[in-house]
Formats: sequence, C-alpha cells, structure tokens
Amino acid sequence: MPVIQNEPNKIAATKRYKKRSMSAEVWRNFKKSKGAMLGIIILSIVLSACIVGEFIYDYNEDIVKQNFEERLQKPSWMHPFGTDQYGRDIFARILYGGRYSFSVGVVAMIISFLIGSTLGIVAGYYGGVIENIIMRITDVFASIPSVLLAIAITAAFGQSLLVLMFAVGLVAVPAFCRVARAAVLTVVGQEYVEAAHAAGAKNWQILTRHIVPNSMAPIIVLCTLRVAQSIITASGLSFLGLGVPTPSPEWGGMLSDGRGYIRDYSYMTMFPGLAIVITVLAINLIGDGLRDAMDPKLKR
Amino acid sequence: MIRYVIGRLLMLIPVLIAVSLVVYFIVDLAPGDVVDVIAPDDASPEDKELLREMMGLNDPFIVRYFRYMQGLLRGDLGKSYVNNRDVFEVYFSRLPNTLILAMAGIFVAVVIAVPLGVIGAIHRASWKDAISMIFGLLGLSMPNFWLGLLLIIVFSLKLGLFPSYGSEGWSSIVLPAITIGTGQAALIMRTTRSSMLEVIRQDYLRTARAKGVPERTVIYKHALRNALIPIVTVMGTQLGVSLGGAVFTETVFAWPGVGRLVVDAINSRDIPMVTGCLILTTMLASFLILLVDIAYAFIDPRIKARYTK
Repeated sequence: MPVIQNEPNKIAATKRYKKRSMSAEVWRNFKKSKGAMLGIIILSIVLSACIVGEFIYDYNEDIVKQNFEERLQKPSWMHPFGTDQYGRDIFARILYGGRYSFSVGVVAMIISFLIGSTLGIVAGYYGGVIENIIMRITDVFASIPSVLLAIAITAAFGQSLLVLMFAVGLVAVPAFCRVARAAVLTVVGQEYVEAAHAAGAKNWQILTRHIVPNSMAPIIVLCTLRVAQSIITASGLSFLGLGVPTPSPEWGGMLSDGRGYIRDYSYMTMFPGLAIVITVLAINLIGDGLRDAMDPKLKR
Repeated sequence: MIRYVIGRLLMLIPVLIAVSLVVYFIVDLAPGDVVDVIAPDDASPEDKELLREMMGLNDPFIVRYFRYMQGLLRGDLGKSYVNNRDVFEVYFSRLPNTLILAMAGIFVAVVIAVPLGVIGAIHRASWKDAISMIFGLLGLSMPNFWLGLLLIIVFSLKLGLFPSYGSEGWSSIVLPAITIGTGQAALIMRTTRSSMLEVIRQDYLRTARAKGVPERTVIYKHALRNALIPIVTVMGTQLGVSLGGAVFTETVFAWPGVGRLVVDAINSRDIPMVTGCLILTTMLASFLILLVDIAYAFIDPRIKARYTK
C-alpha cells in the first residue's frame, strides 16, 4: 500500500513544479479566443481553396485565355462567380490570384521584419549615437505617407511582383524598427541582462540568448497584422495599375477591371473585394488573438 | 509657449530636407528622362545627349538636388512634361480638394468612432462592445477602394441618391467622405476604447460619482477629456496619412485632388510632377502631424506647464 499512499504527494509535487514554456502558455491563452479560432478556420479554408486552385486550373488554359463566347456571364453553376469581360471564370481567377496576395503579404512582412527589427534591436541595445542615427532615419521614412512611398518605389523600379513585395515591405520598416526598439528597451534594463554582462557574456550572446527572445512578443503580433495590411496595400497598388502586371489575376487588379462594368456587372467588383476582405479579416482576427494571448496585460 | 512652437518648427526643417532628399533620390532612379519624351522621333542619340547636357540632366545627383531645392524655395518645381504647366501651381490648385476630402473624412470618422469607442469601453464585454469591436475589425480589413465601389453600387447606381464621381456640389462629397472615414473610424474607435478603459477605473471618476455628478458628465467630461491625448494623436496621423492615402478614394470617385494627380503623373511618366507632388505632400503631412503635436500642449495642461516656465 505505500505506493498508493505516495501517489497524491507525487501529483501535488508535479503540479507545483510544472512549468509551461512561453509558447505553451501563449497557445493556451490563444486557444481560448473565439475570434482567433474563427480567423484560423477562415484562413485555412481560403488557403486550402487557393492551393486546390493551383492544381486544378492551368494558368494558360483557365486563367488568362480569353473566351469571347462566354464573356460577362452572371454567376451560375458553371461559373459560380460569373465571367469577366474576356469570358474568363472569375472563381478560378480569384483562387489562382490568392498566390499573389499571400506571397506579397508574407514576403513583404519578412522584408520589413528582417530590416526593421534588426535596426530596432540594434538601436535599443547599443543606444547612444547608433540609436540616434537609426531612429532619425526611421523618422524620415515614417514621415513619408506610406502609400506614396510605395507608389514612388514601384514607379522607380517598374511593375513586377518582386518590386511590389519590396515596396510594400519597405514602407513597414519604420513600424518594425520602433516596436522592436521599444520592446528591447524594456528588456535591456532587467537584472538578468546585467547578470549576463557580469558573468562575462559577449554582446552577441546576450542579444541572441536574452534580448531577442524576450522582446519577440510585440514583434510577432506586428508581423501578423502587417501581413494583413500588406495584402491591402499590395492589392491597392494593383488597383491603381502599379502592382502585379495584367493579365495576372491579382485581386486588386481584378477589382480595377470590374470598375468599367460596375453598372451592369457589379459582381465583377464584388467577389475579388470579398476575397480581400475575408482574407484580411481572418488574419486580423488571428493577430488580435495573438496580441491578447501574448500579453494578458494588454487585454482589454 | 511661443518658444515651444518655434522650436518645434525649427526641428522640422532637417526632417523636411532629409525627406525631400529621399523622395528625390527614389524618383531619380526611374528609368527614362524628359529628353526621351520631348525630343522628336528622328532625333539622333548625339542630339539627345546634347539636349541632356544643356538641360543639366547630366550633372551629378547632388547638384541637381540642390538646384531643385533652390527652386522649391522660390516656388518653382519645374514644368510638367505632359502639358507644360507649372507643377507648383497645379499642385496648389488641386490641394484644396484633397484637404476638403480629408477634413470631411476625419469628421465622419470621429462622429462614428468616438461614441462607438466610448460605448464599447463603458459596456465592456457586452453585446454593445462586441458590435463596436466587429465594426472596428471590418473597418480595418476593408480596402477603402472596394468600400468606395460598394457605396457607388448601392447609393448611386441602385438608389440614385448621390453622384458616383466628380466634385460638384455638397452631395458629391458624401460617398468619398464615408469611404475615407470608415477605415480611419476603425483605428480611432479602437484607440478611443482602449484609452477610455485606461481612464475609466481611475479614482477621480469614483470621486466625481460620489459627489453626485451625473453619469453622462462623468463619462464625457471627466473620462473622455482625459482619454483624449491618444485619440488626438491617431486623428492627427490619420489626417496626415489621408493626404497620401486619399489616392485610392480619389481614384474611385474621380475626385480631382492631389492623389489623382500623382497617379496620373506616374501613368504618364511625368517626372517633375511626380517628384513635386510627393515632396510637397510629404512636407504637408509632416507639418500636419507637427500641428497635432503642438495641439497637445493646448489640450493637456500638464504638457503646457512643462513649456511655459
């Protein structure tokens, strides 16, 4: 019987010392957020539909080939979202167009994350002259209205998917830089950083072991929200004719095509816009959920 | 106070110089130049080169930049490649339209956002709060060029209430103002809500209630006034952003503002017009944001006290 008697103590002991890692803790909070779960479900549906679209549609045959016999058909079983002025199936084009929105959103975010948070972390950690130089340059870029900056960049380098990613990514660099610096500043004065210094750790060791992991939370939240914002900005640039060149089915470009037919064929502007809104909404929901999960203090 | 304002204005100068340098540099990277546009088709490459030399296009970047900035100080930003009109004049003839639209947009935004944010904060975690949060999320997630098109479909094509384009009469500004205001309303609403939540648990509100001040006065006078700083900040930056962000709304509604001017200029490769518009708009936006900064000093006695000594 001694074994059984010992059991309760054992459980109590493991309970008391059970530690959750940061990510487990965040996931536990995150799961509770209904909005974030809804966001994940919507995003997975949209993403998987786009991936399926990749396989069933052929770019030359279904996406860009003009078919004048079927032009401007209203939504039906054959063409769930109708056809456009060249007789192309809008449903197929929207599914295929997802690749542009998602790739621009993610790549632009990675660009601004890499440049912005590196600068911000360096500025926050080293301080002094370095910080001053970095932050003043950031101020300059931040004071150029972001849409205009993106327009100027696409105008200077010409229209292509790569330029679009770069332009949309660059305009968010100041935001990352500021958030990263602020996050590092709260960490840099902590005792464990001082202890690491005292123990003789080198700067790069402190940066990678202590500073970066502990200031990541707000940066990750910003990453999510920036993907959503980048999708909107990129489709806006395509809408103005400065983004992904036609005839590629980018959502913003499709919206712009639909403008000419808005009086009689309003579905042409309806569906691409819905695609943008639903995707961006899902990502924003996830971002909000992440923010609440990572920093319970911020939860309101 | 005056010293503070002048000091802030002086601090703006280096930022403006740096901003114009960045914009000038980016646009300068664009391929092709005026000679390709204006030279006759049968001009030989030597003739074109001579023309470039005469126009000073072959000078080093920094020389051209200084020449450009000298022009800016005199109000001379060159002439459009397309219609030979003075860039400075065209810009300032279009600017009032954009400013009117920006003001109308921010008006719509504040009228929607501040009450929603306050209600959301007071009735936290109730259905009212949920509605205001959903509105905020939708507003953030909806590209305003799409919202503009939807409004056109419903209110001008189906119902025929407002014109779908142009800038004649008061009714033509309604749809563009709603379009531009909704996105901003979302941001202002979220800021109002969180700022109010911060204030709402303060002791002085309890004191006010204990003294028998009516709840309405407690919320709008004691709470909202103290929650105003972040709200005004967002409003100010949004006003600055909408100078550039109006590009989409102006395109959708064919509104003859600065944003349209930039897009048209880019599509016709009108480099002096693009450079001029970008630099002037950026300067204006920075100036607006500075004005908001200065306005804090008037709203918040604590900030004023720091500078009046």
